Amino acid sequence: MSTDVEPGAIRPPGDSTHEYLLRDSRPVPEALLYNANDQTDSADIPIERYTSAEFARLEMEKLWYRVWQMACFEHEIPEAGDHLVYDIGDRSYIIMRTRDGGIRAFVNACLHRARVLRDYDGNVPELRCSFHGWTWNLDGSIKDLPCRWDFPHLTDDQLRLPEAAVGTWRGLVFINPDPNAGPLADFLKDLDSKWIWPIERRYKNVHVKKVLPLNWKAAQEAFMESYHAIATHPQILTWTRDATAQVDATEGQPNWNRMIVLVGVPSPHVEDFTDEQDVVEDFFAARSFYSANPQRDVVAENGEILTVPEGRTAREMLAEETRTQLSRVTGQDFSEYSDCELLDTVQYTVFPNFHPWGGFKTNICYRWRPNGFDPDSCIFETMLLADPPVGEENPKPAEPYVLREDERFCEVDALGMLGPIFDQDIENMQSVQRGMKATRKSGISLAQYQESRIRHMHQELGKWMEK
Amino acid sequence: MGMDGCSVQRAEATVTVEPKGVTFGATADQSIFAAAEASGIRWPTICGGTGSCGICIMTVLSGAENLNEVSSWESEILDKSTTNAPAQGQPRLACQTRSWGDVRVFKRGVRRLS
Repeated sequence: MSTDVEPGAIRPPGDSTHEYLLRDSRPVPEALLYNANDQTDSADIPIERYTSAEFARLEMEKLWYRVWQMACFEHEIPEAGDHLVYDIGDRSYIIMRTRDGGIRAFVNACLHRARVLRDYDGNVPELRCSFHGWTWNLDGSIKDLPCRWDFPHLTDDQLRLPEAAVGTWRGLVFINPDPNAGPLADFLKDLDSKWIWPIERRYKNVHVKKVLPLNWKAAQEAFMESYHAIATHPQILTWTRDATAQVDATEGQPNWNRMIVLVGVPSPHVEDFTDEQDVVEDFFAARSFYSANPQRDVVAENGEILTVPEGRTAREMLAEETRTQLSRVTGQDFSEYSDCELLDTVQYTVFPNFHPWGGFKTNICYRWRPNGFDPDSCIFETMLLADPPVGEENPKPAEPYVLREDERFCEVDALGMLGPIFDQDIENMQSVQRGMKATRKSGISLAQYQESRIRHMHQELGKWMEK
Repeated sequence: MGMDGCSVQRAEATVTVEPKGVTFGATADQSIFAAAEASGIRWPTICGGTGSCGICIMTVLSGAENLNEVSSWESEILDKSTTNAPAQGQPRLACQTRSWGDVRVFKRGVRRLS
């Protein structure tokens, strides 16, 4: 079916997400009124990016070993000596909280005979190699090595641990294996003004990890659009306006993009037979059925579902209920914040692989990494950021829970309703990689607007592969 | 079945749909979805009754023994779907289910078109 519409002008029919935001019950911040998409290319994305071992190897050299990437949260390494080990490809880094309160990322290899210095996360007063006892201070300067007299050919300067560049933003720690990389702020550009929620005050209360049998890009792309809801998550259509998602992706902001998907409004696919009360009832049923976590999900209190009075909308009622419950659970006042920030899916991608959800509900963060050099395997992590319980300090961040291959996300109680939804996504994923090898097409085709975040990411990836 | 080819009056089952208590008659030669439409009742669907979309999914509260067996086609979609229903019961696709006796089900969004 051909169309006379310019590719860059294609937008969902009917009332846009932006128009709903203009009717919000509270003023919507500029950051969410921002609405920009200049993606005009419509070419297929080459399949070998997902399936070729050669591409995977080159991608590691050209992208991962040179790009800013999210390594951990600041609050995971609060005290001097706290550290995490971050691995990518063959590289390994010790993300260390130093005595002056800063963070450094040391190449995780002894400068004697290269044994890995730290095999796991923890807290140490110094970095001591368990092979010959070479020891470094937490700032990376050499402290001591047995029989120093036998190494007159190595100066203290040469024995300083090499480092990756480190940058922090909103409590996230990014590293760049290229120590001469430009500042993180230059990389993030306007993300800093388009992300307005104080996640640096929250703590990681769930962290689940699983190796999946598909390319990291194919896996993350399943989450970068709402177009898949109709076939993958049909049960959410009555309260999720999937097809009118606003997709913000521009050439001028190459390292981030986002989508805003209205919640509390039915999808165009089902709106003809969904009234306002249906929206509310299905919204709550999704939560109570999937063992909603009251810290995180809006629940039908005492089993009672809201009634939407004549002339009101489900969206208004659900926003108000979210305000009430979030305020009570967190002890904070949400009365001035917009319906959008309380209800909607406002999901960002930070190039190449980190995806935080904005707004005031628990912030879901996804991270996808290649599993070594295997194009058919990736490491998926989901990390949830939450406010502490009322009147309490932030608890310690959750340790990663690693799911075995046969374990499903619905078995992780802490994920609440997200678990079964992830399982629905992952059900597709096993078959996506297989299909990419079986197809006779040389590339995958993308929706011009709804899937333009994927295109945007690949355009940037293409530039890295050329550099 | 009459040997002279005359059609036998088919028993009409009563289908009751909670939570609104909508009722209509259905015979075993049509799906519950088709019977609803024929009775002037709107039943949620995207695919129009082929069994592809999963949107017509309902929970059987009573009378499950009166229903046809789940086919492999129906079970493909059921395996991926959830009912969002508060009540316990067998999930079935309304467009793939036929009944020989009275049945009570749960399905939001089903209403008589005025």
